[in-house]
Amino acid sequence: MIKVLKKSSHIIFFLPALIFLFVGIAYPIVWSINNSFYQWIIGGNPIFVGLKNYYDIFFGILSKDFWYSVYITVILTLLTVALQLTIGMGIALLIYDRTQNKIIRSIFLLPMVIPPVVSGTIWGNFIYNPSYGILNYVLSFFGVAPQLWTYSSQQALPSVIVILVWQWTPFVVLLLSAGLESLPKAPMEAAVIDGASSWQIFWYVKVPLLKPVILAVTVLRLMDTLRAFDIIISTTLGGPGRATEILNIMTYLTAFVHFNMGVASALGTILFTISLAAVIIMLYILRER
Amino acid sequence: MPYSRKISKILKDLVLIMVLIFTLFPILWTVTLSFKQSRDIVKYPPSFLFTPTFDNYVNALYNSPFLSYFINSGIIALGSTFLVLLLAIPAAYGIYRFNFKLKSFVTVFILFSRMVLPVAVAIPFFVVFKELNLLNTHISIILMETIMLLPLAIWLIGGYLVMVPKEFEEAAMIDGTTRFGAFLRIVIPILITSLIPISILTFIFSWNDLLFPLILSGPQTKTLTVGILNYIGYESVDWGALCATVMIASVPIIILAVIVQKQLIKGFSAEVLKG
Repeated sequence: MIKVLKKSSHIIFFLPALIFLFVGIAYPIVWSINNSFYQWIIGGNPIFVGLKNYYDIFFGILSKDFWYSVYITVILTLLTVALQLTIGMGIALLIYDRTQNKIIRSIFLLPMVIPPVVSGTIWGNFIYNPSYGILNYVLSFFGVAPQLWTYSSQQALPSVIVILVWQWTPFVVLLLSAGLESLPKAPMEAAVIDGASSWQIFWYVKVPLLKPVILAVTVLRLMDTLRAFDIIISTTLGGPGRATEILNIMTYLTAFVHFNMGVASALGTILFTISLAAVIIMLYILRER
Repeated sequence: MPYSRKISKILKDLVLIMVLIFTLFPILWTVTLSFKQSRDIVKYPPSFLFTPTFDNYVNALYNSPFLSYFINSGIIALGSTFLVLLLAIPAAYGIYRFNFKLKSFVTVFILFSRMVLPVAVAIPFFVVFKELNLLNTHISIILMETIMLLPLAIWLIGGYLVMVPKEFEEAAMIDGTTRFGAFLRIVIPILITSLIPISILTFIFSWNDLLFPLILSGPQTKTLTVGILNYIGYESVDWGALCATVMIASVPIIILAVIVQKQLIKGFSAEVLKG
């Protein structure tokens, strides 16, 4: 008995956390799958409807909203992460080997540590605001007419993307510049001796060496952008119309504004499936390493 | 050649300066606004010369419930950081120090937990906490933050643990210490410096979170983030007080970040770079 206990002592160490996580993650999954088969508005009684919620979401009355949200989600996520990565890489190369690195890094740390709801408030109310925001004022010097930004159904999505890029590109910069500094110097020196241009060194030497870091950062940024909530809620609430209503926001509104728990559970189940897919991709990347 | 190199260096500096201005401007602009009178904030074109006033900060701190929001944010962030560390340190030790049958299953499950979307977790627990009468309590929010932040903490602590040699504990155990004693007296003291960035990261993420406090908090448990969001919803907003509140919500985090900058960057990058 004591021997068994001694042999399995590692279980005692991680069991509390594992039970905690299991209740916290597995229970919601089971709950969501179960409730997705019911028609249920909070306050009323759940009625079993089988796969109706899924039918409504994919093909029925909700399909137009759902697929539009999918479209918005894909655009927002891909564009945001692509911008964060390219701009982040550019800045990382720019600050590489600089003596003022410490000051530069502490400046870059600021956007990523302030609460996202604060950055949403700052941008939405004091920068984008059409009547007294500073952006229209600055642009007026270049002859640009006042724009509606977050109040316009065409400009709302790009406006939100700019906030996301502002807040999280520094994260990419910090990681990529740390990655660049950890690279071995020898391959680059060899490339210089062989007469490679700085662009060739970047594309054929640095990028391949950095590939694991770039891939990991990409997956992380994709998942975090998919979760984007605070910035959208505090600037556009998913609007105007549904112009910035990504899946995350659609699920939130369905559950906590319309209190339609049946459909929200089905949407939640879809979100869990997306996370599962992300993990499988992540594992694939980690194995490649 | 040296001439064109000089030009390219100047160009690079210029781009960098512009990037830094773009990064800093929104924050500095809000700092400026927070010292303006409310009616000057919404003036167009904006005035750049004005007599600074501290009214906004006074209003935010004394005439509104923001002091209690501040305390709630603090209780929730400290509570969840404590709970995360309490669960994550032994968990990381148990998972990354031993080889056992289901190890890969456990690590994949933790990775999955890290990738889950908070809103999907929030729906079931909103109903659960409602039935348990736990809405408008600190503990419900602390529990949810812990669920969301625990995977990252286990993952990060595991990364540091791998670098701690096993021999220290083994030596202590040969001297008659139990496994638990070795964990308490050998492992934790070695880990303690690496726990600093992890604690700060957890504190910041929990302090900054909006979703769970928004769904689960009530009048007595509102956090600063929820307070700021509700503020925007009002018809006649006291913009000055909002600016001041936004600053009050950010300053503790910014100070924290600046003090432990090196550790924090380590914490942020450990997730990606450790592998």
